[in-house]
Amino acid sequence: MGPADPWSDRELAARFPDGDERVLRAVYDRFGGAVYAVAYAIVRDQARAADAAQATFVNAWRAAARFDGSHDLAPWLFTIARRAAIDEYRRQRRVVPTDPADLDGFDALDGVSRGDVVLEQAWETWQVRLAVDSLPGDEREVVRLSWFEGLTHPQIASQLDMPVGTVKSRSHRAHRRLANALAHLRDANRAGDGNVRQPQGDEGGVSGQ
Amino acid sequence: MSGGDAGDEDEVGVPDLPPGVDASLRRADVWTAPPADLFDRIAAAVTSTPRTDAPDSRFAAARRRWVLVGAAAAAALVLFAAGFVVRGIADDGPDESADEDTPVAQLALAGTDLAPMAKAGVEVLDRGDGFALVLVTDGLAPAPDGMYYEGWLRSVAGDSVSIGTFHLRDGDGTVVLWSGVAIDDFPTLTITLRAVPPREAAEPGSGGEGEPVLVGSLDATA
Repeated sequence: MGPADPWSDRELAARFPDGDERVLRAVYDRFGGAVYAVAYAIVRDQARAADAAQATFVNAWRAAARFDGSHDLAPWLFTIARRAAIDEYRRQRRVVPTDPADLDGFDALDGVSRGDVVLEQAWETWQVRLAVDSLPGDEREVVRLSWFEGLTHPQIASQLDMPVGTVKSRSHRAHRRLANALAHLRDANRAGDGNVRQPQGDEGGVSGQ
Repeated sequence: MSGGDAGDEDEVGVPDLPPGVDASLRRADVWTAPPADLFDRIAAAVTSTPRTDAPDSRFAAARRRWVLVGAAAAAALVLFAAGFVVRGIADDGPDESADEDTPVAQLALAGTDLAPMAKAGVEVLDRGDGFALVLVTDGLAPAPDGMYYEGWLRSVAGDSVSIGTFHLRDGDGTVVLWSGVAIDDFPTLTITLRAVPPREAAEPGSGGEGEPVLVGSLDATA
């Protein structure tokens, strides 16, 4: 997201209540992508996702003095981000007449089963995005081309103008990092259908490092 | 195996990802990037946003402001009654000192699922003609356009009385609500979020009073 900062997640959490804007920048660099991703997962509009992401950091800033620095920042920020995105979604719904075709798979965000699907995906998006953002840039690009663009290793090698062996080794390293970073999802409470349950409260999740 | 490697015979074992992660990696939200100026917007917004560092001190400040308003009202009443002997107006006026404005009850409000990061401290002041409830909110967002907050006192039997509305779009998050009912008889305080009339279809679960965002029960002080 930005220049490397010297603080670990624990140090960021401990410093966040102090109101230091350098820490705010570091928190944004660490979590801004995931915050935006969660917002987009819920509102499905880039401009409104940006508004929700902005509201997330402003609300977190306002409440920073009350944040317990011994806790992880990630679950706390996720909760604020989800709330901001839901608020933005509801604001959008009131301004624009709701077309059933625009509901994009959910018709409420307050407990209706389809809304639950969106919120479940928001949690997964948060976890995976944090893990992806922690990858080195060259490895992240290989993962993106492979999964999101659907390219094979030879196709990636051609697009990035590098040997296939390099692509494979980067892919292997990246997937090992992702598997380690997301191992807790394998052990998390699971529904019988294989969906990952969202933790309640501020249980630990993927950190930025 | 990665998404695009079907049929790649040279693929050396790639660490398996937890179930469901592959589906996430195929979704646009995992890869979408925020606008380049997003942090600048955030920085500009936080510059003008006060942090809620010491909400307890705002109780005294709110009481002092309210005492001044009460004193001004009492003075206006004296002027209006000029020419008549109205004994005891000065004696019955509001306390001169905020230190003498002692709460008869205090409570803490916790955020519901709709506002999990919000909380509020409340002091209840007996003003003789009713009860003032001074709320110092923390982490409760301004009411969205077209909506507002409302306070409700509820009895054990479930009867509820409205004690006022607010929106939090300016100020420091301190709100003064008024109750005409005895606090001991209506010990639960709920803050709900409601739509400005005319309303669309009621929000699910609203119960007609809006969606609860803060809830707490009164404990009388000594």
